Amino acid sequence: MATLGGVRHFTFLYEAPTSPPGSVELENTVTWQHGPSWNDVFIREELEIGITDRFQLGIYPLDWSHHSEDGLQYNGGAVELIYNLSNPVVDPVGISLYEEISVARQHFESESKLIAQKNFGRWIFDYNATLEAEWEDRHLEEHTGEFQQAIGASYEISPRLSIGLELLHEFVFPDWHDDEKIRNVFVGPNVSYRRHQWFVIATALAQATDTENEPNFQLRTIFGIGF
Amino acid sequence: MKSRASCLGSARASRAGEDALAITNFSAEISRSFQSDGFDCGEAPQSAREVRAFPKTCRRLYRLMIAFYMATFAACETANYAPPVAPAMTSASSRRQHVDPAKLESGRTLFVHRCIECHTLPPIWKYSREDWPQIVNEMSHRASLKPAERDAVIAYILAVRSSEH
Repeated sequence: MATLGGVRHFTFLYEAPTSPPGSVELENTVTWQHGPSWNDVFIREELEIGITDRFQLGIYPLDWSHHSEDGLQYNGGAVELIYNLSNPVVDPVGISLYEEISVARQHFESESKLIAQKNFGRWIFDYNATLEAEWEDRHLEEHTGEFQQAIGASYEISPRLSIGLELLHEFVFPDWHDDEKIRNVFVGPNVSYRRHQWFVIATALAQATDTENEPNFQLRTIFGIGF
Repeated sequence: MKSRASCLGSARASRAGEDALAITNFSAEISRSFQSDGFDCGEAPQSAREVRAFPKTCRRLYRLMIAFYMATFAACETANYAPPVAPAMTSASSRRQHVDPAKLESGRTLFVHRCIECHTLPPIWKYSREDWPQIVNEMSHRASLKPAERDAVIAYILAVRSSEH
C-alpha cells in the first residue's frame, strides 16, 4: 500500500511540513501561461522522498516547456532540499528552509526560500520569500535575479477538499539591476482535493499589474501520487 | 609567457571574481530598491499628521508586525489542538492502563508532524475514545507510522481525552 508524502494546499507556495521518512511521492506539475499573443506550457516531474521527520529531498529529472515561438524544449533537471525547523500547529510559526539547484545546457539557477506557515484550526496561512539567481546563455553570461514574496490562505472544507487564495509579488532584476523597476503581482483562487494515495490541486492566477512579457493569466495543476 | 593551464585558471578566477562582484551588486540593488520604495522608515510617527505623511510601505510593515503578534497570541489558542503532555494526562490514563510519559510525548510529536501532512489537525474532542483507535489505524500507513508509533499516537490522544473529563 502506498504512502503519500504530503498533500499540497497551494501550487505557487511551498508549505512548512516535510514528508514523513521513507515516503516516496511522484508529483506532476503543469503550468499554462497565457500572454497577449502567446501561450507557454511548463511541465515538471518531481520525485519527493522523505529522509527524516524534518528533511525532504526532491529530484526533478524532467523539466519541459512548450513555447508559442520556440516549440518544445528540455530544460534540464533540478535537486531540491527542504529542512523543517518548527511546526505550524504547536509552535508560533512553522518555518522551513528550501534550496533548489537547476542545471541545463547554458543554464544554471539557484533558488532559496524561507517558508513560514501557521495553522489555525481548518485554516492554513502560508508565506514564502524567494530569492532566485539565474545564469543563462553561452558562458552563462546572461544574469537575472528575482525576489518574490508569496502569501496564501487555505480553508479545509472537509478532510478531502480545501479552497484557498494565492498572491505573488515579484521583483525582477534583469542583469541583477533594478533599472527597469519590474514589479509583478498575480492573484487568484485554488482548490485542492485528496484521496487515500493521491491528490490534485489547481490554481488560477491573473496578473494584477500591467507588465509586458509577463502572462496575463496562468493556470497550474499539481497531481501527486504516493508509492 | 603563461602556460595554457594558468591562463585558463586566471580566466576562471576572473569570471568567479566577476560573478562575486555581480552578486554583491545584486544584493545592493535589492537593498536600494527597498529604500527607494520607502523601506527606510526612520523614526516612528508621533501624531496623526505624521502618520498620514509616513511612507505607505512603512505603514504596511507596522501592520505586518501587528499581524505577526496577533498570530503569536493566537498560537496559544491553536495549541489546544495538541495540548502538551501534562501530569493530569498520565494520572487520568493510569486509571485505565499504565502510560509512559515519554510515550505520550512521542505520540504528541508524531500527531502534530505526521497528521498535518495530508489535512489540518482535527480537535481531539471531535471523535469519541472508541472512534480514535480505528481512525489512527486506518491512516497509519499513509502517515508512515510504524506499529509502535501508531500506539504512541493513540495513547496520546486517549490520554488527552481522559484528562478532559
